[in-house]
Amino acid sequence: MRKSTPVFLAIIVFLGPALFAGLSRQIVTYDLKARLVPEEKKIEGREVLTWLNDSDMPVSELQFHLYLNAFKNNRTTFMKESGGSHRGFKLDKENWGFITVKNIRIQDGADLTPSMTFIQPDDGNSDDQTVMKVGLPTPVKPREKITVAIEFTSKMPKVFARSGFVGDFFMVGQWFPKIGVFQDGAWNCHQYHSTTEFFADFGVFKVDITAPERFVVGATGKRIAEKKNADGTKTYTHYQEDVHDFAWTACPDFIEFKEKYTLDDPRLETEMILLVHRAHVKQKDRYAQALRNGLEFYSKSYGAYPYETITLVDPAPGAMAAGGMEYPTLFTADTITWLPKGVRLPEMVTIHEFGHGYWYGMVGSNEFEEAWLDEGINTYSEIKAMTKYYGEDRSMLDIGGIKVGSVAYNRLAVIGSGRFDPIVKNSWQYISEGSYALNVYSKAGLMLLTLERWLGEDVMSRIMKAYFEKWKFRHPTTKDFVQVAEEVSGTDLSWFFNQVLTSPDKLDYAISNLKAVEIGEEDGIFDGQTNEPKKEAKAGDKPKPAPKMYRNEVTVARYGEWVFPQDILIVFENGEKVRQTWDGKDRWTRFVYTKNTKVVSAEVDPEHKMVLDANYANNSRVLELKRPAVVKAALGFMKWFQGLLSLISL
Amino acid sequence: MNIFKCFGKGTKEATLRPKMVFFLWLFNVLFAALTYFLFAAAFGGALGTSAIVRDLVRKTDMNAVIEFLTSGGVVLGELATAVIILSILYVFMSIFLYGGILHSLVHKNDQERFAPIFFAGGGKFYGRFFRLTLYSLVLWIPAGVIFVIFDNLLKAIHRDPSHEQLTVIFTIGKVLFALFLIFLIKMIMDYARIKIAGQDSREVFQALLGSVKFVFGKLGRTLALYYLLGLVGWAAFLIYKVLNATFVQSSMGTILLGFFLAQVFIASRGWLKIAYQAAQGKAIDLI
Repeated sequence: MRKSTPVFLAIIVFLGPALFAGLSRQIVTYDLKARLVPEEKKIEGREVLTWLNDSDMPVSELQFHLYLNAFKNNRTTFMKESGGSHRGFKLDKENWGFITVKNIRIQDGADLTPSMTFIQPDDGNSDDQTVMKVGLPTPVKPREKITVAIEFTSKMPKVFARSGFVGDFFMVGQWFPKIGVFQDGAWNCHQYHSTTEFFADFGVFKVDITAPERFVVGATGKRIAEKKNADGTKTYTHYQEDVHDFAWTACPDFIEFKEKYTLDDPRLETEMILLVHRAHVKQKDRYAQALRNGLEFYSKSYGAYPYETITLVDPAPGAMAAGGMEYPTLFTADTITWLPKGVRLPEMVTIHEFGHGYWYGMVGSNEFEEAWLDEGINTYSEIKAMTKYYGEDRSMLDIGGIKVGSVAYNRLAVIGSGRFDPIVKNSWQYISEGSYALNVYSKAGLMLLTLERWLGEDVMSRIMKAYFEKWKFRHPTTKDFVQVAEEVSGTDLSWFFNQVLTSPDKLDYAISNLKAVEIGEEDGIFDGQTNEPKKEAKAGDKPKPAPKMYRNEVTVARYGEWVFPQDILIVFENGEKVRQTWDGKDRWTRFVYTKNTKVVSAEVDPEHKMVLDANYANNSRVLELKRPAVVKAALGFMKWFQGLLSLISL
Repeated sequence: MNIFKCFGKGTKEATLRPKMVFFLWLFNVLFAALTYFLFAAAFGGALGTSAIVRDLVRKTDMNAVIEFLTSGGVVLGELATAVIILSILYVFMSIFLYGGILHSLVHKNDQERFAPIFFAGGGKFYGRFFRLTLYSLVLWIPAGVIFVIFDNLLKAIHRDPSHEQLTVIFTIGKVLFALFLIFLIKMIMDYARIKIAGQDSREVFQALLGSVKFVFGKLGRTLALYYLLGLVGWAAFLIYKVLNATFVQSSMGTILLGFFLAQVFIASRGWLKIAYQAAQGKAIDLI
């Protein structure tokens, strides 16, 4: 196990310049060795990390994430915030998780173990040990590297939040001491919170995973070696450049499927590896098709998938808490046995998690501080992909006549929520987990869809491509996204982003009133002379055609705080249609038409560009109540209740 | 086969009593009608003047449903409260209806008018059937205990959540077992009510115990009769669903046609309720 370390370091030294000519600025180089001890649910690990000080200042300490310590006891920040429950899954107190750093030393140099300290940069919770710092005897100078060797043991928790085990299934994520990001003259190394995900620097990972032979193993990157050991174990070596994390999985019940995926435009060739638990093997084709769809959609929309492998992990039954999570070149999906085809959970999760490979994996967004840059952009991408492949009105659900599309699904989350937080905020500072989720996922996704419908699909497509191209393998911020959007569209979009990204308010325009008042003949005093309506014609007289005139009023109101220019479509009884525009700034405006026809209906934003609008119902108004629809809905409800009554009495 | 004789007798008796079927349908409609007005007010208030409802007559638009669910929060709360209260009241009402049905079935004089007999029966047996409902706790509690034992037994057999198929099968099994227990107790109570009405007995608890003894003494046959009648209910439901799917309810005429069809189905449930009582009444003598 140890023999390969010097060889690898030699590769780094001699081929260093070539490595740094990779896709990313390779700040870190990890050489990891992991031995799975399944009976004890732990991993014995050794890490050799080379870190490049890419800043202009000397660095005198190193900071590491020890994410697994979030599951160490009930007083960690993660546990205090979550109450031991994550996305509906509960902690098993019989199986805590933690990481123990046995020692850390500079390669062939000073022992740093005595200087190891746990720090709590976010909340000062002294019980939290998810961030560790070590002092260095001499600072690392700008553009210099330091190599440290760490021995550690990772005890996996019973999975309830991404990483852990259930039975013989292991999802090993965030399992090794991972160095923080030295950025703007300081370490960006946040604690693990119940609502935060991850952030790290790009680099090279070479990992030897040793597990009993009966286990099927999958991992980030390409498998470059595999050998049997005398003790009944096997060692798998994986290697990957231009990634910022490494995860792996092991389970004896995985069935491995491999498929070569190629695309001509853009040119790409990659190997799809599906590790499907035998309980879900009948759903393998659903996973495979969804992954093909994801590869095609993201490659064509944003840029060719650049890695040689993509691994889909299907968590074992009972381990759904490990599902729906992204890691570089590997992600976990989710399903359950006998899931009907119309419930598109496996498809949605597969496309979504694969998509993170773009907005978290390649575009290295900081999920602690600006999670929307990953989750929101990816939700937008997922909505578009799901709509394309599974239908606009049924992309999420199509069962028993009930159809739900991705846009409707995300709108439900946004419009039914309280408004306490904006989209851009530190992930751990939202009022609740629900507020975090709806803001960084659904609201941000719909915000981009609104922008797309505002600017046009072509312009938005160019924005997304340009953003991906410019910021892949780097760490962008919200400002960078806005800058790209403005550059590509050639438009000042500050009015848009300033509202939707930083304010918790809402967008809600409405037709607040619609009136058609008949204007009678002149009756009263006009210019000092009394006019009266003409008397009715006597029988036999020729009737004079007197077309009725109407004063038609359309009142448009702004109920939300966000100000967006609006289109209004007004339809008259004679079929005439009038389009109006309004800058939307005042609280209300009125359009008046004096015509010989009545207004029939009016609709603000008739093309539904503003998918962020909090209430579609009040966007339109008809002069007369649509009785059949109301009757149908009410009778439908009554019929349902009649059936219920007949059941409870029989 | 006495079961089929009972089945034939039950269905014949129910078919010969269209007025009783009408009464049962009428009570159902009267209770449910209130929800029509509440729902129409809520829906009309939230969406009635919006153009979004224009397409609702042709197809279900999830956006409209979402708007209604999110914008009609308070009204929906009131609607849910009304549904719960009406359901509870209907349970009390159904105790009255059982009295009416059984009194009519056991009444020998065909010359008398139907309505007075039905309502007299409802009033006459209300107290006894109400007590029977309370006494039925002696069945519901052991049934609950049996279900918990069954549940724990399944958990003991299947501790490993990784066998997901088994989890799903066991869950379906638990639901079916719970339904079996519920229907078993309802059947026992049917027999108890029939005994009370048939013998004009005031010994309610004895009637319940007698029914337990009768049902468990002839479990196979009583269950066979119960589920045979149940099949008729399912058949009626399927026919209703098939007919309902043959036309699109997009105009006021077709909407009302759909409503009429639903009322025929609800009436068939009333017919089935009478058939159950008549068939099981016959079963006491024949099986």
